[in-house]
Amino acid sequence: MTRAKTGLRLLPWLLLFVLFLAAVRFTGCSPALFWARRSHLSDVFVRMIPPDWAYFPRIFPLLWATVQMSVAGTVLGAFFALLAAPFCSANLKNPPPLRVGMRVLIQVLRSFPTLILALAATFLFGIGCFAGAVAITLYTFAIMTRLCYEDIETADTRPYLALCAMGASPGRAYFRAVLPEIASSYLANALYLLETNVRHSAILGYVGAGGIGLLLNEKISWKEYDRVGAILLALFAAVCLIEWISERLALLVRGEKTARPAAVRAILAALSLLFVLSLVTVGRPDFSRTSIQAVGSMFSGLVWPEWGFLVEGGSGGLPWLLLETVCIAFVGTVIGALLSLPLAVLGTSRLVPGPVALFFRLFVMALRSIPFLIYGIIFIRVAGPGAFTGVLTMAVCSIGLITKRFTEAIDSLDFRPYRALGAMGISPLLRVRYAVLPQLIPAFASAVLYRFDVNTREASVLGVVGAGGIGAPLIFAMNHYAWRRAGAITLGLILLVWLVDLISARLRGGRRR
Amino acid sequence: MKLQVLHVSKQFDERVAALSDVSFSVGEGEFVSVIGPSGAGKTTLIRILNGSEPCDGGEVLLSGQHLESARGRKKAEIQKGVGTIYQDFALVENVSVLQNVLNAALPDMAFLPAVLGLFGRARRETAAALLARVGLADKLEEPVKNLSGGQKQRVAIARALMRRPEILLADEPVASLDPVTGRQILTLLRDLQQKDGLTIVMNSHNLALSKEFSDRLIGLNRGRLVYDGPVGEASAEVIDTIYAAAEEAQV
Ligand SMILES: Nc1ncnc2c1ncn2[C@@H]1O[C@H](COP(=O)(O)OP(=O)(O)OP(=O)(O)O)[C@@H](O)[C@H]1O
Ligand SMILES: [Mg+2]
Repeated sequence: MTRAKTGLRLLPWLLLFVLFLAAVRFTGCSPALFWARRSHLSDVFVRMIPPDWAYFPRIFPLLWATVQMSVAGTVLGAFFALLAAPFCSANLKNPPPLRVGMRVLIQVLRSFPTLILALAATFLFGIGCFAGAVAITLYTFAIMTRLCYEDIETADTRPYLALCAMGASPGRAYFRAVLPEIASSYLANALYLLETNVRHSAILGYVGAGGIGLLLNEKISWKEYDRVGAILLALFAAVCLIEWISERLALLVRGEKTARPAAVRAILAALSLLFVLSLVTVGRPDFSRTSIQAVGSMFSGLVWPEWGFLVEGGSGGLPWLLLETVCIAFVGTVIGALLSLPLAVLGTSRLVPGPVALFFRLFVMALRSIPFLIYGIIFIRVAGPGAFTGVLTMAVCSIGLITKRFTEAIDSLDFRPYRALGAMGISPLLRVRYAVLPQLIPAFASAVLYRFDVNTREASVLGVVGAGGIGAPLIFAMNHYAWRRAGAITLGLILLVWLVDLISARLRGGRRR
Repeated sequence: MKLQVLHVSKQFDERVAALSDVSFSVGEGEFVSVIGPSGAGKTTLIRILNGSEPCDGGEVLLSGQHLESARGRKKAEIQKGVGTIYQDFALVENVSVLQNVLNAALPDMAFLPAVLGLFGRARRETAAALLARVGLADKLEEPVKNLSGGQKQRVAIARALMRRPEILLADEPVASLDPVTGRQILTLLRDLQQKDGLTIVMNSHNLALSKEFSDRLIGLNRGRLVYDGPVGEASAEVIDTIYAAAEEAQV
C-alpha cells in the first residue's frame, strides 16, 4: 500500500517534467544558442554605462506622466472594485444572475494585459495619457474586484446578516459590517498593485497611451543606449521610491506599526493631493478621431468574431498561437522559479551576511523595475525573433515576484524542528528534506502558480516586440481595424486565461486539502 | 551509569550563567525529575544533554561515551540513543501527525528510502500504534497545525518514543495536558521505565506529579544544582531553597 502511494505521489511530478520538456522543444529553447550569443546581451548593458546624465531633464515630465497614470488608475480602479465586489460575492445578498454576470465581466477583463486594454482605449479616447489611465483603471478594477470578493467570501458575514435582519439596507450593512473586515487586506493589495502599475504604465507609451514607454522604445531602436540607461535608472529610482512608500504604508495598514493621528492625517492629505493632481492633469480624451462607425465595428467584431479563425489549423491558426503562448508562459515560469531559488536564499539576512542580502535584494529590485517589454527587446538581440525570446523574457520577469515570495517564506521558517531532527542524529540533507522543505513548498508552489497565471496574460503581448505568442496577430489585427479577427483572438485569450485559472485553482485547492 | 554530567557550565551572555558547574549522574532505568523556578536552566540542561547546544565547559557522557566532544557521525551515533520531548514541541507544523512521528525513524533508514519517504509498513504501524497509545488514533493524517496544544504535546511524546530510545529527555511533557491525560502519559512513561528499563530525565513544574512518578529529584536554581536526592528526602525546607526567589538565593 505504501509503495503504490509513493508511486502515485511521484507521478504528477513526472508528468510535469515531461510536459516541461515538450514545451521546451515546442518553444525552440536553445541554451547553446543563448550561450553562443551571450555577448549581445552583456553588450547592451555595458553600453548603458555611464548613462547620459544630461538627458534627465527630458525624462522627468514623461516619468511624471507615467506615475500620474498609475496613481489615478489605481485609485479609481480600486474604488470601483470596492463598489463592484459585493455584487460578485456569493455570501452577500445579491441576485444570482447579476452575480454571474459580474463575475464573467471581471474574468473577461482580467484576461487582457494592460497593453491590450491601452491599445483599445487609444481607439476610443485618442492617443495620450488619458487612454493609459483608462487602461490602468480597468486592469486595477478587474484584479481588485476579484481579490476583494475572494476576501469577502472568506470573511465572517454574520454581522452583515444581523444588520440586514435589523432592517438596514444591504448597501449600508456592507459598508458597516463587511468593509471593516476586509479593509486591511484591501489596502495592502491596492498598494501592491500601485507598485506593479508603475511598471506597467512605463510600457503603455508603446501603443501611444502616454508615459515614458514611447521614449524608451525610441531610444532602444535608435541604439542610444546611454539614454536608455538614463531612462531605466530614473525608472528604477521611481519604482524604489514607490515600493519604499508602499511598504511603509503596508506596515501601517497591517497594524504592525503605529503613527500619530496627525501623521496619519498628513499622509492621507498628501496622498489625496497626489491623486487629485494626477487626475486633473492627466489630460483630456481626444475624440476627434473616433467615429461612431469605428466604435460600432469594433464592438460588432468583438461580439461576432471570425469563427473560422478560432479553429484554423497550422502554425498561423489560433489554437497553435495560443498553445505557443501557454508554452512560453510555462517554460518561462519554471526557469524563472529555478533562478529565483538561489536569489531568494542569497537575499535573506537570516541565512547570509546582511550586506550580501542587501546587495541581492537590490539586484532583484533592479530586475523588477525594468518593464518586461524592454527585456523582450533586449533578448531578441540574443535569441532572435520567436518564442525563445519570449521564454527568456518571461523567465526574467518572473524572478522579481517569485523571489520576493520565496524570501518571505524563508524568513518565516521555523528552525526548531530542524534542530530537533538534528538532535536525533539525522543528517543535514534529510533534515532539510523533512523539516525545511515541507514548510517552504506550499508557499513556493502558490507563488509559482500565481506567477504562471500572470505570465499567461503577459505572454500574450510579447508578440508586440516579436517574441512569439498571440500578441503579434492581435495587435496587428487591432491596428488594421480587423475587428472580427481581433474578436476571435480575444475570445481565444479569454478562454485560455479562464482555463489556466481553473487549473491553477484546482492545483492550489488540491494542495490545501 | 547511563548518563553522567560532570562540571557542566553554560553562559549565553556575560551577565547570566544558564548553568554553572552542574554535576550529577543517572543510573540505567532511573526516573529523575529536574525541578526549579522558571529560568533556572532546565531547558538548557536538556538541550546540552541531547547535543543540540554545546556546553562551555564540563563533560557529558551518555552510556560512557563523550557527547560534548563528539562530532559528525560519532555524535549522530550517540544521539540515536536519545529521545527528546521539547517544551515548545518542535514539530513540523504543516505536515501530518503520522509523518512527524515517522521522522524519528529516519536515522535507522538507508539513504535512498529515507529521501524518497519509503518508510515501510512496519514503521507506519509502529508509529500508528504509538499515536493510538497517546490517544491520537483518529488524527493520523491531520496536519499538526490543526491540533490543540495538548495534542501537539502528545505527538511530540510519540515522536520521542518512536525509536525506542535508551534515554528519554522530557521537557515538561505534561505541561499542556489536562490532569487526567497528564497522569495517563506519565503512567505510560513509568511503564516503559519499569518494563523496558528506559532512563528518564524529566523537567517539571508540577511538584506533586514529580514526587509521585519519579525516583529522584534534582533541584536547579539560577543555573546551580541545589539539591540531588531521593524524592522521599526532599523536605519542605529543601523545596523552599530550590524555589527560592532570585534575591534570597544570592544570600
Ligand atoms: N538561546 C538563548 N540565548 C540567550 N539566553 C538564553 C537562551 N536560552 C536560554 N537562555 C537564558 O538561560 C536561562 C535559562 O533558561 P532555560 O530556558 O534553560 O530556563 P528553564 O528552567 O527551562 O525555564 P522555564 O521553566 O521557564 O522553561 C534564562 O535566563 C534564559 O534567559
Ligand atoms: Mg524550559
